[in-house]
Amino acid sequence: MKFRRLAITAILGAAVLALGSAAPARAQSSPSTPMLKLYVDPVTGQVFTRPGKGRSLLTEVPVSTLDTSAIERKVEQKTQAQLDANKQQIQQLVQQNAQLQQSNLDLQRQVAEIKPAWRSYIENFQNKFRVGALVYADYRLYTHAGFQPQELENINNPGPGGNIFNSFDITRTYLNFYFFPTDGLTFRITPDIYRAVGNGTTQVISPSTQFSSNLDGSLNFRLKYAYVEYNKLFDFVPALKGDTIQAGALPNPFIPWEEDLFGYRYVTLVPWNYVSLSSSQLGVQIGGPIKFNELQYVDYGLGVYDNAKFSQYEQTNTKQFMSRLSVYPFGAKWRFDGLGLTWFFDYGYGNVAPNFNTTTAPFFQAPEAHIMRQAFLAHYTAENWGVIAEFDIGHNAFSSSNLFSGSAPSTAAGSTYIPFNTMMTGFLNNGRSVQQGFDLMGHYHIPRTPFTVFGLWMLWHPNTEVQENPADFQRWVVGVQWQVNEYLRFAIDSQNVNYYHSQHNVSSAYVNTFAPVFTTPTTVTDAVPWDTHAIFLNMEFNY
Amino acid sequence: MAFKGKGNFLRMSIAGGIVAMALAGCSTMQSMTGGKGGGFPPPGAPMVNGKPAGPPPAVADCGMISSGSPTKYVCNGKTYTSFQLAKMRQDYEAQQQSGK
Repeated sequence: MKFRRLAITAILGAAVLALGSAAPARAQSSPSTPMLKLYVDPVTGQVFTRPGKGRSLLTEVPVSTLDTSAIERKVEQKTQAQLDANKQQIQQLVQQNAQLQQSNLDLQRQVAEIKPAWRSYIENFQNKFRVGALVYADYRLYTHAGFQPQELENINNPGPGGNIFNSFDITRTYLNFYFFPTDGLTFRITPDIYRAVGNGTTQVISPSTQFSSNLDGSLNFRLKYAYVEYNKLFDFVPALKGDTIQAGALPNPFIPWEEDLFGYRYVTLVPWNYVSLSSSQLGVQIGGPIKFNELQYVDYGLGVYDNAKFSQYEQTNTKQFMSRLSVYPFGAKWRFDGLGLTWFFDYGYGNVAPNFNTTTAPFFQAPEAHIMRQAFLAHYTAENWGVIAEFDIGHNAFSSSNLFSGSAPSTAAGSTYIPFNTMMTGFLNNGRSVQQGFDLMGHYHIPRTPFTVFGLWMLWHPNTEVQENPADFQRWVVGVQWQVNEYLRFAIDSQNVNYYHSQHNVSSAYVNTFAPVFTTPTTVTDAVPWDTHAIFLNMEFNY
Repeated sequence: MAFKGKGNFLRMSIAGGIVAMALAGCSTMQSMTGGKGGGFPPPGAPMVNGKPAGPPPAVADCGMISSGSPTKYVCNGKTYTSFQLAKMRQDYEAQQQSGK
């Protein structure tokens, strides 16, 4: 305001000065009354106080009639009106801004109300679901190939004469899905990819039509584990807190436990798994630790299962019982800590359908015979090393199909291995075989390196009733593991089977004392199988 | 048949011995996952600004006690999952890189 007044005063002062400067000229024409002459430019409409080019006289005003105060008031009034208008406009803008702010606050509140629900859903999902993956892969090369059990699930190799056979394999692929619907309740489903072997037979669809089999050795998808677990059932007993009851396609109480104890499931199979017992059956089981003062003194598992393994169709009218009892006499701070003593017992039957109309003698019907397996283990586990000593005994728990699960003698017409195969059938599949095994396993982590050396030695007598059984063998595995990170590890190892008896012949008459498998007298020459030697490069990815 | 593998067995034994000696030589290597000396602070080790003064347990120095999803390890008497060990290692590496 003050500035405006000064400006107006200055304009008027300038006008007066201009008038003053023009006064001598006007004084000559009208010296008594000073006049203010105003000129206008008709083109632009601008008013000037001095004459100039293109300007014409607009008017003459006596200076005495000019009231600067009135002009100042008029200007002030006009300015004030403009200010009032501006003020009103500003107030309207402020009001609109306030409305916008309120609107933003409402929106923020709404977003804030939405976010917790979204986060809750995600957190809920995370807490209730878990997905994992497991892949075992290898490259293997047999310097000496021969008949033998599988070193790992889903691999096979040529028999004698197949030296330098080598292959890349995927032996196991799991997707582990865990669902935790309520506290203490878990549902697990684990599909597994495995290698199918065989070409199948042509499917006859109608008298005029047949389809070719598509069993071409592809990697197939199957169910490995699917079970429900509840771990609150025994919470009323403090020592049993956390123990579980499980039902479905289960990891049985011994093989997965021993795989964890040894720690090299991705490299090779633990003894009873190597010779016959699968790691998974359908059934129901309970298990867990028994603790006192935070120390585990007992770890147990027991259950009833199908006689069939997870990949077979159950056919029997009986069931299989398994139990494992591990005792830690000095108390274990963690799962396998320190000295442990373990006993495993398994009793079941061959997976064949009942037939009460049969008139066949009960002997020599190996598939119908009982199966018994026991293992006695003494083990010591520290964080960086571990050793396991095991003694095994079994009844009818190792058939010729187990011995030849990795590579079997041909029984095609004309094969020179038919007598050998018949001999093994008589020795092992007679319903009265007795197995015995001694095993040593261990590992040692090399300090300050990511490397661990490990080894397994196994002496196996497939039937102790047979004198100088050609199938008696030692198996040994030795290797080095490289732990790359928390999810990935590699191992390079040598896996070998030595049929350690000296070469000898076996008469059919002797074999027939176990089972009448030879119908014509003969002699099985060079009855001891060839040793096998293989180099493996194994990989495990486990997330 | 069995005797045919004995010469090869001898060769493989010698090769195995050479591998073992080579690995023994590696025992002076620094742990690839455990930092200097491969050691790591036991539970209750000194803390600096609320963070461990040394590197976390390295998986290679731990004992595996359960293979699954996730795998479980025991390190200095304490049980960790593979996820926990991985996170601790990654956090420590990030901390070392940022210099904080």
